[in-house]
Amino acid sequence: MSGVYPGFDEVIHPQPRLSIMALLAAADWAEFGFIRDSVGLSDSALSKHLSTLEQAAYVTIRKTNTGRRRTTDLRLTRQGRAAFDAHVSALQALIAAARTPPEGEPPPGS
Amino acid sequence: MVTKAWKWSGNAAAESTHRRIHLDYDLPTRKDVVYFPLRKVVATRGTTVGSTDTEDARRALEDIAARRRQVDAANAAPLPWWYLVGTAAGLWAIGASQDFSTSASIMAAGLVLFIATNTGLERSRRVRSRARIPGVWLVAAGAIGVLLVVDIGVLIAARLAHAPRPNTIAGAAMALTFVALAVCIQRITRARLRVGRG
Repeated sequence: MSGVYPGFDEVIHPQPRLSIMALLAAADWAEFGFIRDSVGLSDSALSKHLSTLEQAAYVTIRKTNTGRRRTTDLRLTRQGRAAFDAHVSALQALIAAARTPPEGEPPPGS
Repeated sequence: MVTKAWKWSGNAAAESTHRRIHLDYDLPTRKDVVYFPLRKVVATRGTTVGSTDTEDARRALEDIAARRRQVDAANAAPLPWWYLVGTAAGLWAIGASQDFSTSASIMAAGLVLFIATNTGLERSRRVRSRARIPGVWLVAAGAIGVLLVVDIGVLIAARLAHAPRPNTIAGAAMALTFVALAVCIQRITRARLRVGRG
């Protein structure tokens, strides 16, 4: 089995960033605290991953002050959503390719 | 040259499929541990192809599905009691205001309570799901229709029965109907999200 999987994104693939992107892909927007609690990261670790995703233009971060409360809302950009979808397709392609035995080789188990 | 490849999960099981090589660099004192992929390398990104990577991809897809469920679950969380109580009280005050001489101030208080609880609910949300439940606007319109029918129906009945303060009775009926409808709609929404998630 060989071949490159188009859409595979090294920025997205590391586990914490994949989880962050997956949460944001399922949401219109999400609060920083929700992502932090769901993924189980510290504030600083999440900030670091978000900076990487923001630099890649995958995530927008909006900070608002409502009274004494400061909230940070996160959402995927259109580019981020497209990159995530492409990455998911690449993962699915990788699994599908593994199911198909290479030409000339007997299927596994035979 | 040694290709340094990272693994998605980083757990011991995944690492066991890699040969761990200790290399002595010309660095002052320390050894560097490098995880070296045994399998074919695709492109130059360290993406290996083989059973380990398929497993890796499968785990990644499972994580993505789990995260989607997390978002849906957060959105289907039960309505807070203060929202139900506050909105019901607001509706009751709006409905009952006509029975009192200070109707304008009671109605204003009801409206403020209604708006405040709904704004509070919106602000208390930590995530908004992209999952759209088909016909949600129809359900909302139907619920408003039911509330109006209950309010007007009870008001007419109370007036026909010469009950004291008929608007108060109708307002209370509308408030109770709101709570019942909100709880029902919430349960239906949760069930539909569960079905949607498969």
